[in-house]
Amino acid sequence: MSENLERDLERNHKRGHKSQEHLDRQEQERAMRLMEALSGVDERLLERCEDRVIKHQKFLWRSTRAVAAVLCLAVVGAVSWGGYRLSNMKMGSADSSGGAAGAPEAGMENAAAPWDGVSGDTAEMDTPGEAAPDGADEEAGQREEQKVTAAGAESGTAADRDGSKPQTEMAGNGTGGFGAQQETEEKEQEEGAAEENGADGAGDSGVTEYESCLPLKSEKRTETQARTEAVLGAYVPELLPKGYAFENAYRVPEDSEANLTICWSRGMDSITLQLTKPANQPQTVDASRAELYDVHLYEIPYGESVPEEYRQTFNNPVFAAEDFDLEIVKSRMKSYDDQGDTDTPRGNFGVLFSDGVLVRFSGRGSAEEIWEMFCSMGGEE
Amino acid sequence: MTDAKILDLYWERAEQAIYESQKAYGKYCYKIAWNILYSREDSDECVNDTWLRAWNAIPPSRPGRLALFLGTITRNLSLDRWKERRAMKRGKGEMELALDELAECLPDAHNTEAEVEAAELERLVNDFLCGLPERECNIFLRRYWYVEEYSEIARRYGMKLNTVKTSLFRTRGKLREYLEREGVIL
Repeated sequence: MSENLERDLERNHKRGHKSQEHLDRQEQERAMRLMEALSGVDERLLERCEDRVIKHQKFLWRSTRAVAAVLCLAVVGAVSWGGYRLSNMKMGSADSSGGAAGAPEAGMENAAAPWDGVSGDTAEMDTPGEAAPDGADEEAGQREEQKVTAAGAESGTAADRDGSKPQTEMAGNGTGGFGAQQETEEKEQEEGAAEENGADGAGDSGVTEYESCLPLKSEKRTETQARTEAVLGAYVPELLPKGYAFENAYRVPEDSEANLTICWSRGMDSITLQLTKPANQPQTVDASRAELYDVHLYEIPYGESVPEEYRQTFNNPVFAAEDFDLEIVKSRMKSYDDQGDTDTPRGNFGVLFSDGVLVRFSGRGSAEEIWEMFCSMGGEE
Repeated sequence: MTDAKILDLYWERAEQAIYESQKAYGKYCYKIAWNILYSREDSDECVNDTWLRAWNAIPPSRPGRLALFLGTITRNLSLDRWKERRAMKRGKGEMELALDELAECLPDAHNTEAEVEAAELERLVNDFLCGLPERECNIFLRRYWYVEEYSEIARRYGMKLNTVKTSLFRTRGKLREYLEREGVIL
């Protein structure tokens, strides 16, 4: 009996197992039909589910890039600001005790500014920890400050801008008047001369350190003074592209050659003319060979497109004044599509006049404007 | 190489088309096959057969998106291979095969009126998927078209595993209701 029961149970179990298997197989087959039906799904839906991944990844990639860019900017900003503060700290000790020197400079920057000619007593610097202006050291401080600003201008305008212009902006908001401009300019020159004569005044280690980086001292000039410079003054142009204002001018007395550098600016644009009378005159470019100097013939990067044998001439061509014309200016002025920069054409070149004066131009403006500027130079006549 | 250029090669009957297809979409197709078959050997065979099928289909076909075209071929081949393999496992004796053969002769137990052709089923599934929210549809396709694992889908869309499971569970329920409403009995 029990054997029969066991046999029956076993048979039932096997039957149940088989029917379960059969059921599973049927279900799987039905599922398979659905699977196969999915093969004909709309491609757009499949694309969309792929796109979603791409979008997601792109988003991640974009956000990572944005974060990296922000971090880079933050680091660059921090470093720049740190450098700026450091230079201000070094110069601050001079400025704090000699605000008068900063004020005349302001007068030079913009004659119409109401704070021009300020006596400088109210000059302020935001550099923390700097010493309060000391009446006793005022004169010495003026000399020191003048030394720094003059030295800063030695190698062009950059150092000068970093050093002196911020002072100009921060220099006293006091009650100075426009009428004092000329006086302050003269005073500045006197101070510059005093400094040239070695009247260093009260010592400041910060200033000394700063100065030690600069091999040549320079003397600042106003635009008027620049025009009256012997020989070279005649090459300061009368006409400038519209909107340009005088920024600074200086000469390096230690240089054996007569020299004068003068700079004008218009917002982010600037024009710098370096006037020299070199003992050894540079070789001039054959104006008939445009391949030597025409920036429009080559693609950027010039390092790859300009043949090596032309490169030196191409980078800094000097034209003989008799060859120099508007076409040459056009060939050297080009507008570059740099992000964040103005689209004003820019370029550089030199012109060697028959009396041996070399005018090196570097700046921005339309070719016509630059040509007119050169035409307004009264040198050779 | 772009899809257009690969297709041009197919149309020029240049064998390089197969090489370029393999280079561009070999991994993509292999993954589809692997997800279904889970066997390197079978997957390789399916992918190789994919190029042959594509070679025979283009021309006259000129698919809009070559990846999906090739992927669909691989998928179909892989499903066929999967069925073959299952049949082989199951068919330990001729008897079972014979029974299966005879089963084809039997009328279907279900209501034949309710049975839909494969094309009609495809259409209905398509309609259903088009009506789904984008995210649910994507998850459903990743699971049942690409046969991807839950965890892979979750990673792909930056979702929690449980969210993927829940979404699939709900979508399956909706599909069941939809097919029933449409009178489809599989």
